[in-house]
Amino acid sequence: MVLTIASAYMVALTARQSASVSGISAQRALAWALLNAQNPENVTKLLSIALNGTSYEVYVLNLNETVAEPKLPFCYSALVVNPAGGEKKIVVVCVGP
Amino acid sequence: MIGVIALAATLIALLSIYSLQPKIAYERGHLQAAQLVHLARACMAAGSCSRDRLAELVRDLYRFNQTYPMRMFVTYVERAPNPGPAQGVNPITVTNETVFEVETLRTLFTGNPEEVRITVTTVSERTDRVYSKRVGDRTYTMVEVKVTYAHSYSSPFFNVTLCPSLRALDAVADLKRLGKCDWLVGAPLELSKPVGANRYRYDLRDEFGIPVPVLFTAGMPPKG
Repeated sequence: MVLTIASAYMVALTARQSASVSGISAQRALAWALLNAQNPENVTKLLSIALNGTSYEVYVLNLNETVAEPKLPFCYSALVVNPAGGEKKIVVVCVGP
Repeated sequence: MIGVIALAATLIALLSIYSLQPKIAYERGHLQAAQLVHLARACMAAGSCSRDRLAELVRDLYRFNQTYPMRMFVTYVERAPNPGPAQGVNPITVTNETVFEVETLRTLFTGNPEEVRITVTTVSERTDRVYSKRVGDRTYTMVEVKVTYAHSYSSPFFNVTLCPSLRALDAVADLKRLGKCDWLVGAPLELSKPVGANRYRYDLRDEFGIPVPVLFTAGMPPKG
């Protein structure tokens, strides 16, 4: 019985960990999106492709805004300058289990 | 036995009710280098990109990082993206290079900063073909030019080459993609600017909004 309970615990823990995207993956996804995108909308689209199937949330903010309460624990951000007009936005991607 | 069962049950219960607290992750490396590439491109797209303008964008990055910290390596603008002189006669090559110096962890040991380098290369090669094109009530003399256009990003963290797509700013130019970075451009002579002896420049834009200079000579193309 002890073994059964312990293995159930390990299965639950493993499932929880595998459901999350690692911080490194999210950083790389944001870096990749930045290299290929022209504006915040495209960064968002590329992030959705790169992080497909994982738990993530994306915020597009003005320079003085912050994410009040991100639902996911690890957040990475980038300054995105729109070539058409030079408008600056902050794109934040949060990941986690 | 009962104690072990109780402990295991408690662990499972804790796992199910454990709530996550937001944390800010500190990032260097890939993301910072990609961020610098993005800023250099945005600066080029704005038209005339001076070293001061680029340094201002980097300062914005520091300022914004105070709001949402992305721990950064110390960064200096070593070279702003000013197109170098046109080289060659046919083909004509224009290279536009931006260099950031970054004090990475390796710098602590070697004393030498590492580079994030953004190189934008345009190679224009005139073909023998010249043709007429009627748009509205005007007829244009179209000069056919083979253009090879590429972005190359090198950094301690990645080396990437992109072949951005090109677009014309008017409805006159002809544009056809031949390969990944290769294009066939029909440049209207009447809408091109003379730049030096017998040489013309016609500007396209890439997908990032950066001006792409298509350079060609009038008359039959010289060889070499």
